Amino acid sequence: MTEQTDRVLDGKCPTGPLADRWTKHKGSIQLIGPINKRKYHIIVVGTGLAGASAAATLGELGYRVTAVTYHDSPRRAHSVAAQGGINAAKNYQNDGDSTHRLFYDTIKGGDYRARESNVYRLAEVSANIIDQAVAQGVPFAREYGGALANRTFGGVLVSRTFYARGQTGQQLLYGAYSSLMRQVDGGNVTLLTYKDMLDVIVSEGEARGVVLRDLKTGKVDALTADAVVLCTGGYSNVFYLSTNAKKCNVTATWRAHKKGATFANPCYTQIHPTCIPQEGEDQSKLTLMSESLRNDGRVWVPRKKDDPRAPADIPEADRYYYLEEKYPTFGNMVPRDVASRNAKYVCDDGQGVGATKQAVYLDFKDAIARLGEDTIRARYGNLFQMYEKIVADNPYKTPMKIYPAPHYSMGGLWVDYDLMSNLPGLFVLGEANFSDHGANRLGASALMQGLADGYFVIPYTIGPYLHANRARKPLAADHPDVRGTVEAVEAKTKRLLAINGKRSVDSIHRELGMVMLDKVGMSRTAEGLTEAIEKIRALRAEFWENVRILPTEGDTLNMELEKAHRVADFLEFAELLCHDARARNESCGGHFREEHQTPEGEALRDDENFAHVAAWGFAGVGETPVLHKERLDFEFVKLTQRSYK
Amino acid sequence: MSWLTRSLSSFSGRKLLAAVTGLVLVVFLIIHLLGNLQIFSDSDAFNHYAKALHDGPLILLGDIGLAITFPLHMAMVIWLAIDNARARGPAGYKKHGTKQTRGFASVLASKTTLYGGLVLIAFTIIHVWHFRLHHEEMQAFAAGGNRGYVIQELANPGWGLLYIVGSLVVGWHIFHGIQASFRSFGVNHPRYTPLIVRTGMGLATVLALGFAAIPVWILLG
Amino acid sequence: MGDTISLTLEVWRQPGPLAKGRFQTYEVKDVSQNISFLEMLDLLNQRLISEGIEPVHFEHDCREGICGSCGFMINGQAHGPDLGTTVCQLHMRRFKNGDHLVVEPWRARAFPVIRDLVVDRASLDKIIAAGGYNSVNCGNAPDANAMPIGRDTAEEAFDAAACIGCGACVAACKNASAMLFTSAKVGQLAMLPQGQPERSHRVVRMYDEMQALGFGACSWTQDCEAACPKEISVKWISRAKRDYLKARFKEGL
Repeated sequence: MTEQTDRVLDGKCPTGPLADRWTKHKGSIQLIGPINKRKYHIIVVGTGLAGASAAATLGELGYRVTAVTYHDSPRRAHSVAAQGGINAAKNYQNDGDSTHRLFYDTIKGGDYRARESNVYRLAEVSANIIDQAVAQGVPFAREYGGALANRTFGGVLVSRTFYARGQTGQQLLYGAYSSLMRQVDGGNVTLLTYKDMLDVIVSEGEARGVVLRDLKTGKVDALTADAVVLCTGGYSNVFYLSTNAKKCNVTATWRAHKKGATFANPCYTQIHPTCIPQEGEDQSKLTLMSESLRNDGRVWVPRKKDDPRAPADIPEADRYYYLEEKYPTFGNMVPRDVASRNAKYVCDDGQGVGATKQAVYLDFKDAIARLGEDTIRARYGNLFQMYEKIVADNPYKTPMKIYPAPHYSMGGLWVDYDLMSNLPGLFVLGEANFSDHGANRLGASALMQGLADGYFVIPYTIGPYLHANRARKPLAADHPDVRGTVEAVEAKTKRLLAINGKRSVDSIHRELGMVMLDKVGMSRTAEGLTEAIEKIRALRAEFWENVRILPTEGDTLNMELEKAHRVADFLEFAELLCHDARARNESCGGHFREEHQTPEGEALRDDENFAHVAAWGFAGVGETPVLHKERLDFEFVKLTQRSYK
Repeated sequence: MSWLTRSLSSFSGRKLLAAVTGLVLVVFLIIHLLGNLQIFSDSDAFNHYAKALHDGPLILLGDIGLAITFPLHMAMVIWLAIDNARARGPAGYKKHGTKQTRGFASVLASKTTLYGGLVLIAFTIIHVWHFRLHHEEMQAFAAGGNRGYVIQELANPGWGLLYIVGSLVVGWHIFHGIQASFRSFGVNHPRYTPLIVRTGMGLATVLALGFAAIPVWILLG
Repeated sequence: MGDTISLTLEVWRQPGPLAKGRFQTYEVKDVSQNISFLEMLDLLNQRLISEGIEPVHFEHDCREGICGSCGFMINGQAHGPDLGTTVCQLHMRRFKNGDHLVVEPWRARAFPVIRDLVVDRASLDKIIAAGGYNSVNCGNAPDANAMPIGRDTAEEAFDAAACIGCGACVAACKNASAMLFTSAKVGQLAMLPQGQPERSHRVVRMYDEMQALGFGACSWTQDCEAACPKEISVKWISRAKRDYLKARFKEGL
């Protein structure tokens, strides 16, 4: 394996006191005058929290923005499905919260694998996000006196999570979306819907535009600009069954990677502890039950293996509240990676419940006895209803059955402090980048990061790049690099359509998912990862020989073709994920290597050798990728074994 | 477009005009029914009422009022109906259904108000010709004046049946129409709105039965 | 858990926006009652692909009832028979063995068919672009607690804000009206103090835009409320209407 310590991996973080870094950095940034802003064209790909907020805010500043989504409307982006809440260091509850504490919780929650400067900035701007959302009309939960309400989330000891019933992501997205539509109304933002980004146009080493395929007509076109901002979400669908929406994919970031952008920490995937367990073979996706349920629900399994009794008939003495017993301080509110891993342990031990024995109970009996059913309904009504719809079981009466499911990807394209990838001109925001969560993301932090990047970071940090290239015009449509990229996308589409084999795209994707979940899921071994790479390669070959796409034309809506492009990329990306997981010879956060654990089964880090960001360069499909490292220096927090006991 | 045409040609503006005129017509119906009901009295009350009405200025006022409100109501509703039909687009549904859990009558009435109205246009023309334009003749009618004339006409099963149907269609039309009018004004209240809905439906029922009672009574002798 | 059932589906097939469409009948055998309606269509599509037939296109994404992508008519009912449910959350246990289901796209002039059951709902975005927002630039928001908002007010505003923009209200309305969609956004912002400055202009612009886009008017049949997967009340239509009339006739906008 080639290893390099490369200059491209300078995170360009400011120095000095942590609390002053962002202010200092903003103060030193090259400003662009209001009149000159009109001259710059910025493409924002994706319209989730990061994309919509970035496009809206850049539009407000006066840039010419084109916002791109493959959906029929920006409002469909999967941010809409985030349930529980958004963190902010407001300290409205007077319970000792502060910017520093949010910073610390996030760094620790991420198992010390994130940049201090970035995380501190995130904590710093978190409070402004809430202000902005309220001004947009986001109906956050309120106390009777009219003040904002908060709840607590996993991995922290304060209540700093703002929420809007169990639909916080939806409301925040609609807030950002309304700001975006305001800019569309005002003419600063051009909205392109039904456009799938299939490549980045790179010329002389810099990102100069994107190639879009119109999903309704199949037409492939180039769109050039002064800068490209990718806000294209995460890659959890590499596991096929995940809590992500069906269309979520790695294509935009993967194709940027193939054009030179390094992909950082792909092995940091989050398996969310509270999801509805898989029911059968035909299931198409997994549904998350908000982590906020752990505020009032108690997780347990029967002490006895294969206990045949109904949960209500099992007396207290025979119930194993494993999280409460093992982690008395945090109890059911341990971080996600810990909760998930422990669910896996008890199920592996044969204590699992339900038909598949791959589930644990999440029980509201005590909370209902304490608070009454009405209070529980007010807090989680929509979640309970959703559960009942899917499972046909009443969670007010019988405990929910839950099991971990792939949910979020902390890894993503490598970016510096300005959120620019190593490809100049290519900025990456939100889940698509790797930056702020380290090896595990705490609950209610994804919304925070997406919106922080879009509302409060990129509007400042994009300036210097634009200014530095002010003399340059966007590439013309007939530029060889533009034409070449368009033609390559067209050729790839043609190639896919021409295979005309026997297997559907979904069947191959499902098989990939099974390999990934089995070998690269909640726990990994070097041996298993090597095996997985072999299987992925075989499956990729199978795909390119035997996939069948219908309709066979690409000039109308063709959802099988859309999926084929995405699965083709997953089949390449999956291999990188395995490489990264195999190279990271330690356990940290969501990345758990069985070879590296404490006697109690907790993740065992190796700070001496792995306190770095692993950013991979593309070397060709099936080739060993090139590793670049960015060292993580911790000046303000002490690296300790994470303890939630 | 000026502010006024813009405002009044908007859906809500048209609805507003339709609602105002509709409610005026309901008030007219109430007065009309109160007058009609005097036919049940054996004395000359009905004839006196008719005479007083036609000798006074009220009839002119009524005629003018109706000549404005009726066509305006029709015009607004039909104009809306054309836009509404166009909004569905070139292809309709093969299968129709609803997910409403309200009473069947309320749902059906709300969807057929327009058709009731179209029937009422025809009915009104016939009715105006039948009685209003024969007013002189009715008053001079030897066998009991106005009252006698009405009884003679409605005793004819064809006419009697037509008036029964007409009365019921009026009721059906305003069964939904009254509450919809208040909705068009934007009235919405957790307590008063249900009251308006019930009152509207009750009034519609009373008007329908009240008008229909006359031909029924006459047909039964 | 649950048995398997077999169904007859009569599905609208239309290869493209300009192509002529027609109904096509498919037999679906032995599907588990535990899967969702969309998963049943997935199975059908897998079979169609293996038989060399183009799969039925339908819009979908999150499959947990929140993104608003999915939606079509099942036997004349938007999102199928269940109340407060998107079609992705509709499970096959709701149907009986031997059921005959007619599956049609949303029908509205403002929602042209793209392919099969997929329609273009860009018009809903255009309504939002016509003022469905608070004009507040990022950075100039006051502290979130500076303006107290009562719990009931916030909750009621949420009821309207819950709209997922799926278009079922339009599809179910006999007039293909977007009044519920439009009024819910108008109502949400009108409930909150932050929405007051633009309240009148907003409702006038949004209502007029809705009309201009070719949606119908409201006849108060209340089918929209019944079809709404988020059970948004028709009261929002009354409220927004009052705002509209006030803006037009009182304030003279």
